[in-house]
Amino acid sequence: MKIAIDHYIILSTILFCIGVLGVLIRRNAIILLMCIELMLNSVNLLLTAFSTYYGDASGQLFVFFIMVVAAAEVAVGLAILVMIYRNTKSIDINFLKNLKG
Amino acid sequence: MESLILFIPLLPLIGFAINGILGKNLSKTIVGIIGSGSVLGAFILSVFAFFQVLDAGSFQAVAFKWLEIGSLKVDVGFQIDQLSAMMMMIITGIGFLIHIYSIGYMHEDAGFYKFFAYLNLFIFSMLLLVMGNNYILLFFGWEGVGLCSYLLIGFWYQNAEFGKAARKAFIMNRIGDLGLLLGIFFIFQTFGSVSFNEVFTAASGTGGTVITIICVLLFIGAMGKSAQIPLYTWLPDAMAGPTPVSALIHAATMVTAGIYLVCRSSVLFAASPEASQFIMYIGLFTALFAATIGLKQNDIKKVLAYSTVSQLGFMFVSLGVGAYSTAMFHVTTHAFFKALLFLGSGSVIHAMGGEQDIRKMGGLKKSLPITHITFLIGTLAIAGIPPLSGFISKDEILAKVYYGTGSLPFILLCITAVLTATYMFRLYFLTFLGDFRGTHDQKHHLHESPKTMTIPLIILAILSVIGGFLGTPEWMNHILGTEHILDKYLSLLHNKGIIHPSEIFEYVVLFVSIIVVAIIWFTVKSFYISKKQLPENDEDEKGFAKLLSKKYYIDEIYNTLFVKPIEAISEFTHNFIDKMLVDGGVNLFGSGVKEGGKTLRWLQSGKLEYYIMGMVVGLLLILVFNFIK
Amino acid sequence: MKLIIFITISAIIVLFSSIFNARKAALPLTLMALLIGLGMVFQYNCQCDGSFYRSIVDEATYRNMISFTRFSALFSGVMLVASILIITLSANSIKPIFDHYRSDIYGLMLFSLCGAFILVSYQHLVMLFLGIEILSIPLYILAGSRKNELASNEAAFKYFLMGSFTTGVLLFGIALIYGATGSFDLNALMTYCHVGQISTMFKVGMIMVLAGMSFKIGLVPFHFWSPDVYSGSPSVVTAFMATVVKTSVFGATYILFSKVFGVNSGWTDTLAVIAAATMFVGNLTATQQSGFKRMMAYSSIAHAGYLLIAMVSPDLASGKAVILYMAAYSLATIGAFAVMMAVRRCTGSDDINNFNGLGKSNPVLATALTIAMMSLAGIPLTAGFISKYYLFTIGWSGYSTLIILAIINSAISVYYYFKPVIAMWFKPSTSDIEIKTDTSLNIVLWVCVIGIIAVGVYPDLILAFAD
Repeated sequence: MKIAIDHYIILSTILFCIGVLGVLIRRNAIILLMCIELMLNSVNLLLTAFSTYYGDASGQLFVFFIMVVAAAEVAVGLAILVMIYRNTKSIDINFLKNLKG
Repeated sequence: MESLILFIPLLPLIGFAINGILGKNLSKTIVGIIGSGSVLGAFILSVFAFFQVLDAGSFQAVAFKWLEIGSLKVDVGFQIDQLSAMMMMIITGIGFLIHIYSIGYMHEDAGFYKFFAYLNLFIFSMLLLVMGNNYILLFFGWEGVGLCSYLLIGFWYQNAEFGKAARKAFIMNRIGDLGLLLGIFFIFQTFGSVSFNEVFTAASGTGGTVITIICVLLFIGAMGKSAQIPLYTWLPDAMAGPTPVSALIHAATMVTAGIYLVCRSSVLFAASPEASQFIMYIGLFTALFAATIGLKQNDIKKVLAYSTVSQLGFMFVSLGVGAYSTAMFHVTTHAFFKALLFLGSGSVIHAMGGEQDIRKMGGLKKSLPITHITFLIGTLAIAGIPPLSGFISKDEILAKVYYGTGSLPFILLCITAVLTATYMFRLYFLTFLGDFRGTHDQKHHLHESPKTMTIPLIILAILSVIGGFLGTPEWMNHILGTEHILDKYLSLLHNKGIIHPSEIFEYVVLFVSIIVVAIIWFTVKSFYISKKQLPENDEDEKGFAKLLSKKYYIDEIYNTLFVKPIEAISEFTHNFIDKMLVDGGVNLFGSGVKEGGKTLRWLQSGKLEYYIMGMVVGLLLILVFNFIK
Repeated sequence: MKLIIFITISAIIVLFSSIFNARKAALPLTLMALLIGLGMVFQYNCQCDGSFYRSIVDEATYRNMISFTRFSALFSGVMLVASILIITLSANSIKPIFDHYRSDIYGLMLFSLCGAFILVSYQHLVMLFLGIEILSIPLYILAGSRKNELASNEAAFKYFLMGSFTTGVLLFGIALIYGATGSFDLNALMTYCHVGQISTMFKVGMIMVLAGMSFKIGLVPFHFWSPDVYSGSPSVVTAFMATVVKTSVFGATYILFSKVFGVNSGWTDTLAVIAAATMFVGNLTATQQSGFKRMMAYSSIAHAGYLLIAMVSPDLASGKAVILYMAAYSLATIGAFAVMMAVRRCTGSDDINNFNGLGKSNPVLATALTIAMMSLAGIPLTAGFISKYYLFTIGWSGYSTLIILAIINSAISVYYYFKPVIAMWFKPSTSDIEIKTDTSLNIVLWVCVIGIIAVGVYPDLILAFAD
């Protein structure tokens, strides 16, 4: 049985939305990072699906770039988190609302 | 040469910058040298430019492209042709003499450096005005000279009256400027360009209502700057400024900007007989009107001011009959003798310790010999004694009017010439002859002015004598074998036909004027010197004389007709329209802005989750917005 | 392309200079690299002829990934000049305790600049993504470079989290576009847009890409980060974000939307609404600010709104208008930041009240700020006026209502731009702290002021390069 491309699109959209909702709802910074990672991975899934669908390798190549960049991004993000933790002893994003107005 | 041309306006600008910024810390000598030196440099370059034009014809020098907005293209470019070269010579030449004179005249003044900075700025603006190759640059210079005139009239700003005079000049000029600006807009709309070359190429051979409208609008600009009826009242008041300013700006150069504008646009004016007619009558009445007022003035500078208004009227009459080069001729000679008379009066005022009332002078001949001789030459020149410059140029205007329009304007103009001689002789006799009528202190204080002041006087006196030979009339050509240099030189102007007055006419004018001037001389002399009549106090005058000494009550009439109603209207608009409607509206708008800002500021809560929520909601809205359609 | 390689190598050298204990060399090295880069851009622009959007190098040389055109060269030029000014400004303004990180800061800025160059010359969506990330990741670090200050931490984290969130959105959009067309190449996308029906998937993808880019520019409703991040970051970084980052992402968006998607794809209405909303939000909120940096953040939001006019305009000259506008805006913003940094360094805060009486105590600074503010507000004889005029004239043929709204907004903006001006000239000084400047700051100020006036009087200084 061949799974139609629509299913992949719907699946990755659902994953993406879960990621977005996670970012919206959760307060713990680490979880937020994971949710963003989920969003990026849903994109990876989508790209791979399209790539196979078109028989074109460039989509899969793009996935590698995304993975590399995401890794770099998370590294920076965790570093920033550590920095914040040193100053506030917490990774709850509710502490970060001094800049406003 | 093209690149050197740029230095002509640049030098005074540099002078302005140095004197304006550093002048406070420089000694008066250095300020004077910088101020006069920059103008001298510009003069030397102008002479070069003049000969260049003489040799090779007119040329253009574009400094840089300035603006390019849609089809409006404006270059900062200079057009050096016969007309502008001549104006440049007058501006920088007389400007230089007056700068030298000011070193002596303003020596005691605390604002010495400021004065020179303003003068240099004026020379710069005036040069831009005459050198620009398009109307926008001309307008730029036009506004610049207006500003300098304002600054210099109000130079002694501690005196509130002087400040008021400055404001009056500025406002009256602004009314004229509005006309000029509208004229430029019309030109751009009609011809699609503001550059002289393009406009004049497009305009040659056309005519009709649009051209007339443009010409009248341009002339309204000229009315303001060149003090013609009804916008002339600022010029007599402008005498509040230091005397060198009156000589430079309000006699020799700035007030002739209107003449220059009309000459520059002679293509347009030649295409509109109606506008030319209008100019001629305005000029004619201004000449006559101002001359009658001049008869009864007792302030030495006011007499000269009304005389300037009257002489400018002569020039406009000449422009109105299509004799553009004749008008330029009179501009030149007038610049010589009127600058001379003003500087002479400045020398007198200097000697009298600031006194300007001629009733308190008299007998200055002995104490101020050089001033006296030069002033006498200027007086004779303006009164029309052949072969001084004033006679020749005025004679040419009279001939052009006689052959151009007819007898009534000619007769009126002749009467004006007679009046001119009368008030000038009156001024001369009361000031220099007879007995001294001032105080004892003043008498003790009397002295001839320093060399920096007398040398410019002497140079100008020489120019006033020989200036006329630029445009010798036919009879003189016959006798001396000369030719009319200026007519030939200014052949680019669109003169209306070349009129050769008959020799009989010329000889008649020559002898009649000598006889008439002589009669006036002796009449006035017997009246003021032999009979020792003195002008009465203003209050004691009766009838027509009172009307004259009160300047036909024009200031009062303007006050009632315009100032008072405008004040009333502005009171109304202030209280009702401005305070209630406009302020209300603005406040409403303002509070709307404020409330909107507060609300939006509240949205910026600082909380990350709200921000992301905002972004997601925004994205969804955009998606919905795009797919609902 | 040579430029990108060169700047990358210099970035690595600068970064490594601290390892070899040559930290003092970081500043001159960076400046030198940027100046050489500027020279390369000049040389490139001279070689070019004809079309504004064609590279002189065959696009196949770089596998259709990068196409460095005159458009890219001009944008790069503007960004290089801005970077040079900002780095000169930073010479004495980095606090002594952070001097240790000097080479890191410059290295990261150079890396970020590489991303910016890629963004104005990409030819492939992979490069767009990489450009945005190379631009952003160093900025996340730079925003948090004051490790011990909570404000800086907060700015970094907010920027990072929202930035990576929108990267996800952008990527999803790219994936959908790929799904609809089967290609990442801009030329292929252009053909798809101009021939035949545009599918829903493509449209959704396009909007998500727009969202991703809008975030970096700071368009409503993706603008929330910018005031917070601008005010929390060190001033040098803020100036960099407000000028270089904005310029580059705007260039990228311009390429994508004007060149690839074409004008009549039904997205111009959306952009016009976003433009109007951005202007109003930026200007209205700016009127309520008391801190200078925050006010400038909202001002930069408002300017992004004006700039969108260029994208909805069908006129081909709008690219030039964007360049002129960005140049004028960058000069004025850097000038304003320079003055603010001097005030902040001496008084400890960027509150507008701290500008009181500056006109008397330091007229040079006050005059420079006044000119910068006049340019931002669009007062005649400044670069800001002429660029706004140019932009609005070009935009008039498209959405004239939008232009009217933009003019109303310009009027509103005068109110807050003149707040510091009024404070400087008309209010008495509240404290007797002397505001001092230093050489590098003065140089930057003079360059900005002269540039603003020169371009304002004679816009061809910049436009000549585009002809």
